[in-house]
Amino acid sequence: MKLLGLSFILISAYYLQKEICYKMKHRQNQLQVFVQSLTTLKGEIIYCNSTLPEICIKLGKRGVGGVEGFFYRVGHTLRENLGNSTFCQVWEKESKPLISELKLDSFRFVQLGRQLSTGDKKEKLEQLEWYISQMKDNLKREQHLINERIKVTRSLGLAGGCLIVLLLI
Amino acid sequence: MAYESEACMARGKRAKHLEEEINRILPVKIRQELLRAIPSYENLQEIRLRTGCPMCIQYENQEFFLNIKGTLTTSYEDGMIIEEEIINEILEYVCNYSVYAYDKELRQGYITIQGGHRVGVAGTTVVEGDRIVKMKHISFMNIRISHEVVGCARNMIPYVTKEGELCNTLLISPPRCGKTTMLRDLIRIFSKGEGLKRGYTVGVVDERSELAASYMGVPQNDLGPRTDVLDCCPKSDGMMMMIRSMAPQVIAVDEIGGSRDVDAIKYATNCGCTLFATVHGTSMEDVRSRPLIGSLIDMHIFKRYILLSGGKNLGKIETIYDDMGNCLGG
Repeated sequence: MKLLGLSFILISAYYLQKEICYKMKHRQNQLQVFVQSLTTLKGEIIYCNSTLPEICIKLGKRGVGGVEGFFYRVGHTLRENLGNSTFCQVWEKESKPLISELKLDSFRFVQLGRQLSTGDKKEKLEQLEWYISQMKDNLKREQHLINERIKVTRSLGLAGGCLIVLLLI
Repeated sequence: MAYESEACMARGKRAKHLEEEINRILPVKIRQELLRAIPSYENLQEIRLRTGCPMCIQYENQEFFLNIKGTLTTSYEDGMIIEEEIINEILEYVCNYSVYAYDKELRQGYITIQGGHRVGVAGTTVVEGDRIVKMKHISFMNIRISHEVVGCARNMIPYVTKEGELCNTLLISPPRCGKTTMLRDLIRIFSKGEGLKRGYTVGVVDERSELAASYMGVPQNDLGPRTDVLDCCPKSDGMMMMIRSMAPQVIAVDEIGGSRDVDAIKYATNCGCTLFATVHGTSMEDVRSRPLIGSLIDMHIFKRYILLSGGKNLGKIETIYDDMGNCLGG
């Protein structure tokens, strides 16, 4: 029984640290997907001259939840409710879950939405480039931080588990 | 009886579509007031919006201003003032939330929306050299509601055909007298083969998106099942392209006049295509006096000239001439 209990503690400690690491990694991945999506958005605007609802729906089709879910919701709402709310209103409303999930700077993100629907192609290109470069810098910083955190969590999780086992023995 | 009920149903369907298409581009505030003031958009012709000025509408051939109470008035002092935000919001809806994607159209001064309605814009133009590169600070809008007049060209059919053969036809009238509407119906009739032995393949070169009113490449007006449309293409290049690629039996173009148009018309008629075209003009003499179109008349390229009336008899056939100048009817 004792041995079973010990192995149970060790396994739970292992999975706990794995779960925490996964969550951290997931955020990092989602941030990467977000940067990729913005780059695609930029490309679609420059090369295909596509409209924002079309682009958002296209980006939303790549997957479910997170960044893709956000784009899908925005595209779908725009397509369904033309004449009822502006792009900025839809973007702001749908961005709340994404901002909290990816811990984005809400002011900058809403500002981006405000600028996307107005202005010409050149302005759009500059705005997107600026935002993408900011996101890339953030991502680089975060990547470094997350990697360190993952290492610490892994070591702590394992050490904690071992400590409990030793104490119990 | 059955025909009447069918026509009534089609009218109702069209009115519903029209309401949806216009409502999609109007902000909620304006839409509500407009719907209160007008029971149906069917007789609505224009909506004019100017920043800081009252909203003006052309309804049943009369000018009205929309006031805050949601009623129509003829006095502009009582009209609902349009703010800059409203114009910006409409522009956003008209451009499908993507103003950048309509740069070219904005430079031309108009955007065609779903349903074939045309939104004219005016503001500040940015000029580089002698070219307009951008339109900014858009403060004026004119939403022109497209109305198809199905069947308006039926009376022309006996004159446009001779012994079963189609004749090259030129429609002549002053601006806003229904040339384009007539030509559109003529295309539809020949494409469907209505009242004819058979239908014809029609190639439409729609330089200003007025005939087909294409939205994302799809014609919004009924041009018949045998019609191919080349949208936003210069007439001269478009006619050549149509002949090479789609082999039409009939080519239709609106508002000819340039030297390149004349060359393309000669080429098209030499290829065995029948040509339906329109030109601005008040009379045969007026058209003949122009060097380029006059040369086409002298060469007997067109076999029929149809003059449309303005004023009270708007869009009605005034006179029909053949290439020898004989009056065939009217």
